[in-house]
Amino acid sequence: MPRITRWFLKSALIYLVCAIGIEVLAAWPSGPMHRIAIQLRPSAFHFFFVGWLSQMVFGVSHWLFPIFSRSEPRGKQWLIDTSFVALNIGIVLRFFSEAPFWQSVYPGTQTVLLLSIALQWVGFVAYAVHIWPRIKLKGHG
Amino acid sequence: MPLPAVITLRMAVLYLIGGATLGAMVLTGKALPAFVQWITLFPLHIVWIAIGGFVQFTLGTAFWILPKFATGPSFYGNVRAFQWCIGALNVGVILYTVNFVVFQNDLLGLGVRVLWVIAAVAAGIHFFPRIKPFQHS
Repeated sequence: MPRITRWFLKSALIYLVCAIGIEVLAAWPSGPMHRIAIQLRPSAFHFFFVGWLSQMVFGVSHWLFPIFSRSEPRGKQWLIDTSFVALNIGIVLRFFSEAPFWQSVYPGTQTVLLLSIALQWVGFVAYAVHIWPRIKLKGHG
Repeated sequence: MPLPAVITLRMAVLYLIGGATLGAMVLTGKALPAFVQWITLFPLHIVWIAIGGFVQFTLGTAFWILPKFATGPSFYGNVRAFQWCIGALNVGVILYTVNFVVFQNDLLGLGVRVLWVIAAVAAGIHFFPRIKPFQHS
């Protein structure tokens, strides 16, 4: 299994645990942690969908899909590396900027949220550009 | 990869980019009050990324990688059922998009769901026989 696939899958599992942990806190009957967790639920949902599901798909497809060429079997490494780094920084920045209560914790949450949007988008597009040439007919290229 | 898997996976990747772009627009609507109307794109973001993207990606990968048949008209089994599945799924997503943007018609919305049920049933017809031990002969 390639190293970047291992990173995708292990970070995906961490996000899965975090997403479920926040859902548990949000389901707690009352208390300050419950109130915070409720506001964090949109971010937690994306921990699940982007952090876990997307990274599972990206990591496994990078590992299993047909080779790109003999000299570069898995395609452009920098593209999948960019996807991993941008996606993960983007998700974490989103977590620390999306919920309304962050505005009272530190200034500039809007800028951080915009940066997280750009990074997550770059993460998806870099993956798409990376995997596209590896989706090909048997015996072609 | 067989042709149906190539077509399905490439469609899925296109929907993933589109869905991610719609998601970026929704979140921008949260961040910047000037773009608050973009938040209304949320249902379209979900359909494109979940159904057009991840469901389709899973179906395409499964068609390619699940055990094949040693004999028969096609090694991949009932390919016609798979074509119905992908056709209904994609027509459903396109109709959902048109209905969301232009018509907002409940009956058309119901038609989209019927198409997705047809896609799910066709997927079951295609994939059930392929969930089996590998044949080495």
